[in-house]
Formats: sequence, structure tokens, C-alpha cells
Amino acid sequence: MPERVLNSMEAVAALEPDAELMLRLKAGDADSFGPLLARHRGPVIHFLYRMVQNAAVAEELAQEVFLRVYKARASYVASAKFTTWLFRIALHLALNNLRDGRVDRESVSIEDLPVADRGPSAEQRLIEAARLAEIRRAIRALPEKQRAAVLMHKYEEMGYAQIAEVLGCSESAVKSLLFRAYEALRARLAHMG
Amino acid sequence: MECPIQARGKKDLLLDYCSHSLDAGAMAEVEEHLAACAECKAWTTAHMRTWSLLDEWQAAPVSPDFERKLRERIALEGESAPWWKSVWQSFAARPLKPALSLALAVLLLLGGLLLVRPRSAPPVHPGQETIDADRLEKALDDVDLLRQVGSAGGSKDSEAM
Amino acid sequence: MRALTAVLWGLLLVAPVAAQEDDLPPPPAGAPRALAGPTILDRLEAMSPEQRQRLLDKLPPERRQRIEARLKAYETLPAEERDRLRRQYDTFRALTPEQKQNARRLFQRFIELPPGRRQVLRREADQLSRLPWPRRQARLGSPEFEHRFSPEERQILHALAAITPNP
Repeated sequence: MPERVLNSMEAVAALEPDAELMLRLKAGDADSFGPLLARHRGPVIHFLYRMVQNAAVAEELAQEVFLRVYKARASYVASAKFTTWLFRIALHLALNNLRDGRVDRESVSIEDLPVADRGPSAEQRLIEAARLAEIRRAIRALPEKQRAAVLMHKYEEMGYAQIAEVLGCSESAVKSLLFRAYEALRARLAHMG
Repeated sequence: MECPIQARGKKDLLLDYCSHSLDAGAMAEVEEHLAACAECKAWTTAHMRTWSLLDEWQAAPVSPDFERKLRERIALEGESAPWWKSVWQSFAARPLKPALSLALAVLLLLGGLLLVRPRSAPPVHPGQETIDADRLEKALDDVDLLRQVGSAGGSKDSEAM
Repeated sequence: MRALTAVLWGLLLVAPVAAQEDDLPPPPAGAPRALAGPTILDRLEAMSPEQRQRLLDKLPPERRQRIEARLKAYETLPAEERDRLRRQYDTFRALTPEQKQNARRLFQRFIELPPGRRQVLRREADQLSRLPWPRRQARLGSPEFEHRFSPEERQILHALAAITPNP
């Protein structure tokens, strides 16, 4: 098929809702997986990264997420929002990983900075590294469900209803989780200017 | 408007205000209340400070070979079970007489040993081993590429993602 | 003879992709050769699990995990495929750094070809791989071959033939 025709087909596919793309994938149109992947890989990887705090592991888990989506295409039914399903798989894998204790969290270490560089920018970088480490520690200290709720709410800008579906709880439970989580974060980060 | 902090089940209004997810009308209502309620004002100020701190944590960009690796995994795992699994399953599905099972197991073992014959390499003595991680990853990259070249264009081709 | 072979290999694999038809280097006179001695992957495989783990534990955690995952993916390949890859890799590593770089680029181009065209090249490369080197060489230089494949495709086939050991 000429490349020009393929590109316009991909452009059309990129505008379609996720469920329609999945149904086309189910019907055997493998080209539909590309736009789904392009649209959602960033949010999934970023969510996993903030959950497990290790970029390499996050990408491996994200691959597992999309592999499962691909493998499940034959039995896909558009009963829930596609991203809800995606994040449910991602959360499940992240929690397994955390509970297995296999993840070595990346450390934002002062030792990572070049020793020879003693200019003001190096000092600024030290400060930034320390701030980032605090923020990551504060998130890490949250119980898993609170952590997941905050990450979906704050960074993925998901609504309460969708977060509730991902977590398998009620909307009011999500609001309660979020409040407790943000309170805890506020307390832990209060000393930071 | 009822005070979100005092009223039961209304605090999410302040949360929505801080995350800019209210419509214009609701925003205006909340702002009017904040002008009059010190407690709510303090809460939203503190929360927005926490919010902007969280903004400092940016996720790293997705690595450029993410899709390539995913395609490899789909090519390996996306369609069918590994070859050894289908062999195992075909044996497991049929009940065999014990002696025949044992004979087959021995044959499989011998076959496996013949197929998976390790290449000769010098023995590594404990304490002397070192590995060049850069070289190793480069080697894995090259083998990956050769594997893709070998499987691309054949019956195992799972292109057209 | 070896020097001539090396020069011809050099001409083949350093040539830019955008080379016009007239600029295409002639096929090499020598057959693909492999380096003697174990590869870095062979050395790892020869170790006991404990030795290997001790070695990998010295690496930073993120890198160690990445390498472990990739090694696992390699080791779970069917034995036949691993064998094939080992033989190809043996030949590949005998190339000079420049030749390797060019081969990598051509292989990447091959993977990026449209599926139909890739299949055609794959079939051709498979047929070439079954031929002894002198006959492979003759086929690569034939008018029919030049007619069926674009200059870039011919370079790709040269590179694929280059890393496939003699039958």
C-alpha cells in the first residue's frame, strides 16, 4: 500500500475514540494499535514511573501493560473507558512490583553531580536534587492507594469517577483518599520554600 | 455558599478549585467564599503550594527504543505461547503409560542437551570475573538487531502496528 | 589476498546509503569469517548462576535490571534461534567498527521497509544464505539482481549476506 495512503489512514485512526481503535484491532486491523500506543504510552509510563520511582522498570512494566492489551484484543468489549482499563492493568503491575520489593528506586544523589564543577550552577543543582528527593520521598511515604490516587489526580488529571473505577472503590472513597494524601504531602513538604 | 471545610462532603470543591477543574460559575462562587473565609483561604493557599511543589517532579521522556522493544515482545509473545510450552501442553493433554512417559522424558532431555550445547568458553575463576557493561549492552543491542532482521519479513512478522 | 578482501569489505560496508548505482562497490572476494573465541554473551553463559549474579550485582541497580531483563529475553529464545544468532553475531563482530556501524544502519533500514518489500528481501537473503560464497557472490553481481532491487536494497542484501556464514 502506498505510504501516502497509509499515512492518511493513520491520521484518521488518530482521531478516533480509543474504543473504536480497539475494536478495529480486534477485527484484525493491526494498524490501529499504533495510534493507541502513541496516545497512551506517555501517560502510562509516567504514571508507572512515579509509582515505582525507577524509569527503566517503569518502561518494562509499561511494555507489559501494552502487551497485555494487545494479547487481549480478541476478547475486548467496549464496556468501560479504555484508559480506565489501561490504568487498572498498570496499577496492578505496579503494586505487584512494589509488593515484591524488587524495585530499586532511583536515588537522586549528590554524588551523581560532577565533583569538579564547583560553580553556582552546581550548587543550584544540589538544591534541586535535594528538593526532588524530598518530593519523591513524600510521595513514596503515602500508602499505595493514596499514592495511586494522587498520581492519577495530580499528574494524569483524571476525574474522581475514573479514579474510583481504576481503584475499584466509590467516588467518595476516592475523595477521602485524596484529601488524606494531600494533607500528608502538605505536612511533609511544609518546610520547603 | 456553604463553607466547604465545615460542611460534610464538600471539601472536594476546594480541591477542584485548586486544580482548576471547576467551571467559571463555580470558580467565581468559591472565590467569593474564599474572600470571606480565612480557614478555607488558608487551606487553599497551603494546598496550592503543595500542588506547585509536586509540579517540580517532571517525568523523564520516554526512551526512543520503547516501541521497538515492545514490538519485539509482541513478536515473541503476542501471538502464541513459546515453542516449549506448546510441546509440553501437547504431552500433558494426552495420558501416557508410565514407561512411555519416562522414555519420552529421557528422549526430550537428551534432545535438549544436544540442542543446547554450550559453546566452549574459558572457565571463569571466582574473584577474577569482570564484565564491561557497555560492551555487554552493545552486544545485546546487536543480537537484538540481528534477531529482528532474522524475523522481519518472515512468517513470524508481526509488523503493521 | 587478505588485504584485498579487507579493502573490498571496507568499500562495501562504508559506502553511503545514498550511493548511486554506479558507485556501488563490487561484492567482496572473500567469504564471511567469524572471530575465534567466545563472545561476551558466551562468557556470561559459561558462568555459574552465582558467578553471574555476583558480576551483575556490581552494576548500578537500574542498569543491572535492564541487562537482566534483556539477558532473560535472549535466553528464552528457542535454542535454534539462539544458535543462529550466535553464528551471525560471531561473523558480525569480525567486521571493523565502521563496517559494523554501516551494517547496523542498513539492518535498521531493512526493518523499516514496508512488510511486502521486506518479505521479498528476506526470501532473497534466505536463498543467498544457502549458497556457497562464490555462487552467492555471482548472484549478488548478476544483472537480474541489479534489476530486481534498488541500490539501497542491494546494499542491505550485501550486508545480510555478509553476516550469514557459509553453509
